[in-house]
Amino acid sequence: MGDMSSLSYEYTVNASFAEDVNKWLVAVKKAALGVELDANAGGDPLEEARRGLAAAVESTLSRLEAMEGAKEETGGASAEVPEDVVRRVEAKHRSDLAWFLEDLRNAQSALLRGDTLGPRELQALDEITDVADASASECFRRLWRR
Amino acid sequence: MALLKQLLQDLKQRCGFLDVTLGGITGLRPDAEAYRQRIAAILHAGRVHIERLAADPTLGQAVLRKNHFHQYKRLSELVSAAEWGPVNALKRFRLPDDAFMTSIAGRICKEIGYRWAPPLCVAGGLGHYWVNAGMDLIVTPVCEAAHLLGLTDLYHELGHIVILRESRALQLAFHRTIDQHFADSIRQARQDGKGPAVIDNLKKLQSSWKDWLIEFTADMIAAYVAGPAYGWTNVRLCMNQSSNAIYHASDSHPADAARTLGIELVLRSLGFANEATEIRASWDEFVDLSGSTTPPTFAVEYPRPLLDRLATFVVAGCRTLGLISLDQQPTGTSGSSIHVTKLLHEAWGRFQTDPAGFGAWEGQQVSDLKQEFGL
Repeated sequence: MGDMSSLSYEYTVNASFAEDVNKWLVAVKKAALGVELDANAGGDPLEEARRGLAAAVESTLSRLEAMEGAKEETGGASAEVPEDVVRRVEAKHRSDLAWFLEDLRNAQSALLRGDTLGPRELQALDEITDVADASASECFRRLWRR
Repeated sequence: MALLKQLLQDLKQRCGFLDVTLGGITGLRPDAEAYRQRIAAILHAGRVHIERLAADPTLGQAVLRKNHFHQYKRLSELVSAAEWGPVNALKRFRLPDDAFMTSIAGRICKEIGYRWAPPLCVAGGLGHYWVNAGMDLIVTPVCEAAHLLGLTDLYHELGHIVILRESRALQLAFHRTIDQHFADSIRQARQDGKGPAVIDNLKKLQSSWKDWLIEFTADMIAAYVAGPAYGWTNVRLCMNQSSNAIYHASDSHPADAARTLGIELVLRSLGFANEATEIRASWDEFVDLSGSTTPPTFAVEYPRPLLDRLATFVVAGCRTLGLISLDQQPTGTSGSSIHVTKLLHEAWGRFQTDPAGFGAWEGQQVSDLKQEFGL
């Protein structure tokens, strides 16, 4: 019943999301650098990373667009984005959310097409991983360093 | 980069130390030994990741610098969390109370149709019950192994693990209902000519509900599997630790009054109407004693239709997951003579009919349970 239980849940969800999006972005960046990726049992690691990242971006976009009032959230997004991550992105981009959403849409399209990501798209994805890391880190700190 | 390389080495050494420490913990009971092996496997995988990151040829690449740092942080958190939680618990596991609590948790898991490996449960807490859901570890207050009336909080903590495992079904699926409810409320408020402060408050509540959902759901799962005993335990806990939380929420926890209502709704939906009415009467007595009154905003913050829908949603989710409600739990399925969940239900009945004589009866039940678990 204590706050520790909620915090440990929140940490696990946030850390899992942060780990996944970071792992996928590392694979995409490494591929762009021409570095060979570790093979995995599931098939093409780059394809898996692109699909995973595109799904995370789609869910983030869906949540942010709903907040912006541009669209009604469908609830059908394919990846789980922690509530705190969405809030942090929204707070950070309150003044330029439309531009940021556009960068995310372009990044998602490039990922799905298998195109090279431009600097703006990469920056948008870096921001998602930064925010996810900050969210997981803060949770962990609250959990253990009270 | 030099710092990251150094600290990866440190992390590898710490992880190796935990591996050796875990390896040195021998002679555990089978349930704790199975848990030790699960944690050892998690740490082994962590160590492989640490070694892979330390040897990564792109460690010095500017474009990946921050990503590698983030990866390091998750690994560092894993090692620290294992050290402070599971390894700490396993090191002290020779204490009989820990074996007792883990046996109780394991038995409960069988009775309620919990489909995952049972958690380790230790009586080592300096505070109230809590769970590290990611590490399958429940910590209870230190003297809890000697008592029965608070034990139903174990079902709430198990609920947290269930929610983590099934978050899409038990959390995300309800977010849409929350969004719909508050979208309707905001639309109505605008039609009624309410000001921006009212609209902003509704938007904040929409967000808060998604945070509170975890505790509401864990309560409702506990009420579903443990029945009225969980409702009584909730009243007792609120009575023992009363504060302004009766009607006020924190970031993670909804107000106690709303949680109590959520528990009541589940109990009524399962057919425990009489018990729910008695629990409600006790709750009202507690609120009266505390001198609190329902704030006018309570119905807006915790709309009854939304709580009704959540109770229906959680009960349906529990059934889908194969969790068994108290009234459906067959006695004797776990191949034992004592059904813990039904014992806790009985304990509350005994306590209410004979509070003064309860202590002796409780002591005998705890003794019988220990014998049942070979302790």
